[in-house]
Amino acid sequence: MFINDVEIEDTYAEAFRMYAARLVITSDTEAWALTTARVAVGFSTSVIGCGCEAGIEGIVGDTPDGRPGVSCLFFAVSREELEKQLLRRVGQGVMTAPMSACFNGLEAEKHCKIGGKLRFFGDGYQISKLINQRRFWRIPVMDGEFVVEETFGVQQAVGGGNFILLGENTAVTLKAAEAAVEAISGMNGVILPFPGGIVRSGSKVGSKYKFLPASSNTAYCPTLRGQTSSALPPGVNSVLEIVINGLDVEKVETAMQKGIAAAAMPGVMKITAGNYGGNLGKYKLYLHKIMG
Amino acid sequence: MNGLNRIVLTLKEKLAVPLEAGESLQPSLLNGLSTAQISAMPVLYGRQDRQIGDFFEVERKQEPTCDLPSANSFVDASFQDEDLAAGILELSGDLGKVKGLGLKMQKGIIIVNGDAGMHLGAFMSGGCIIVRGNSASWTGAHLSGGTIFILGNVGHFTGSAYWGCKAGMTGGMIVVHGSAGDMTARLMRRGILIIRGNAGDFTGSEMIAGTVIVEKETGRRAGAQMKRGTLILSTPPELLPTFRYNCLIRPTFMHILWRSLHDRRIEAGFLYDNSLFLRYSGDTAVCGKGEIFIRCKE
Repeated sequence: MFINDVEIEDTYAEAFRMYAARLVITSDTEAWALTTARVAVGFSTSVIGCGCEAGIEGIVGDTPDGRPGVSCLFFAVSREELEKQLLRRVGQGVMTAPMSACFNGLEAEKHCKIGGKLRFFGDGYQISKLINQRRFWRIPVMDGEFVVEETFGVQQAVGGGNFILLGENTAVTLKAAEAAVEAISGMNGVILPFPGGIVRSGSKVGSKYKFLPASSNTAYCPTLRGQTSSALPPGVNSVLEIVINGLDVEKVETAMQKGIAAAAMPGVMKITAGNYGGNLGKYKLYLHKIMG
Repeated sequence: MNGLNRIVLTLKEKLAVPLEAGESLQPSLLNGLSTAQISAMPVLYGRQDRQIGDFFEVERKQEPTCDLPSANSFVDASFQDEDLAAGILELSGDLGKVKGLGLKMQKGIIIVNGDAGMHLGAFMSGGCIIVRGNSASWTGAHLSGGTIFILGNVGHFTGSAYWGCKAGMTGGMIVVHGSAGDMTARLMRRGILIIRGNAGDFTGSEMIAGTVIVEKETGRRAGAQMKRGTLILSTPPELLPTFRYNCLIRPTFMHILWRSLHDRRIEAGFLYDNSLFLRYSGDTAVCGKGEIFIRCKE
């Protein structure tokens, strides 16, 4: 299959089941809401080393407290791990920011307790308000009160949707990746957890070192062409990957479709996807089917 | 509201002594009965065992509208589908002596075209009651769910606990469009109580939790011996010396509260007109973790 003369390899991206929560972070200004959200989702590129994967979903116009808000998605490998991560991130990243408040943005059957645990920071002076069957905690802080919802909805989600751009050089590959990110940005229900939505250090499972669970995806490293089994066609000198997490597989596939369509530009020689032979992930996202 | 089946009880003549509606006048209970069966339902008139038919004309109507005033769109917004399905009971006449309407009600809708007597909606856990006139004392005592709208005034002890009980209202919402008497929300434990007019003395006394909003004047000793809970007042009351001034603040939760009311078309604009509030905590004579917000108008 070719799109704009760019070959789309007949392969699939292998994606995994994850657990997701959506946080709506508000503040007096959009700038402060964004600052707070960026801190909350910081250091969350991969569960391999960060505990969770997170990103900003978009600006929210209609927030529970009527102030400017930012929606963020958080993904982890289990509900327990997600609760652990959210507790840390809301406690250290959101509550600490001036004027912030944090609300649940996901209606789900299962929940994790966040405000209900963070409330103890109030040292006995915390106040709860039950409004429309939603419990909010008002924790006294130095600029007034930090309002946080007692529980946040958690649902099964999909992590690790991806496609890999093989380009002639770094400049064109980065341009194509940026175009893909631009096309996906603002989509409801998906995030791109890596820096700027792009990852250059794609990984493979395992390593020659026993203590390392993942290591560099050597097959796609241009500098290793000739030294190791390479997946790179002649002329490819730079490779970048887009990783997509979403609330369901349809959203991830739509994001992949938009991203690949935008990235297929002159200078990109091939677009492929990362998988582990289909043995690890629950979902196989076939590029030809998605782009068909 | 179109095409809904409703039971209409019209008072035949003015009552001389109180009539205990008890648990007989429940929309969900009457909905499955014929008019003859409804007429035969027992009520207590003074000390006499009587029947509903002795006092009320009983009709079953299937009309295109419930004739609700269009100005009360907030009422429609509060109707839940399950309540509409459970049945609508409409009562007309001077019902000021009918006690305990909606007592222990769990679902359904009661519309009172006139005044209602004491203990309206006491121990109610669901459904909706609308009184187009005034309601007497103990309205919504021990309310734990559902909504009560009073378009006129209410007497004393609205949403309060009966004497000797540990907690009054534990959920639900009461909206009074007129004024309320004394001891409103005494020992309130949870829920929302809105007084759009004035509130009498000892409003929110001994409160344990919950939220009371008063849009006009509040009487003396507001929040006396409140342990926790929130009083939001539009005008400054004569505060007890056992309340401590905290700060000037625009609380974030106020908008959430306003929004929840606004979604039900209950306007309480002063909660969110960018007003600042003076926050006081108390009553330090007891636990002292209650709070009184007083709107700062300038």
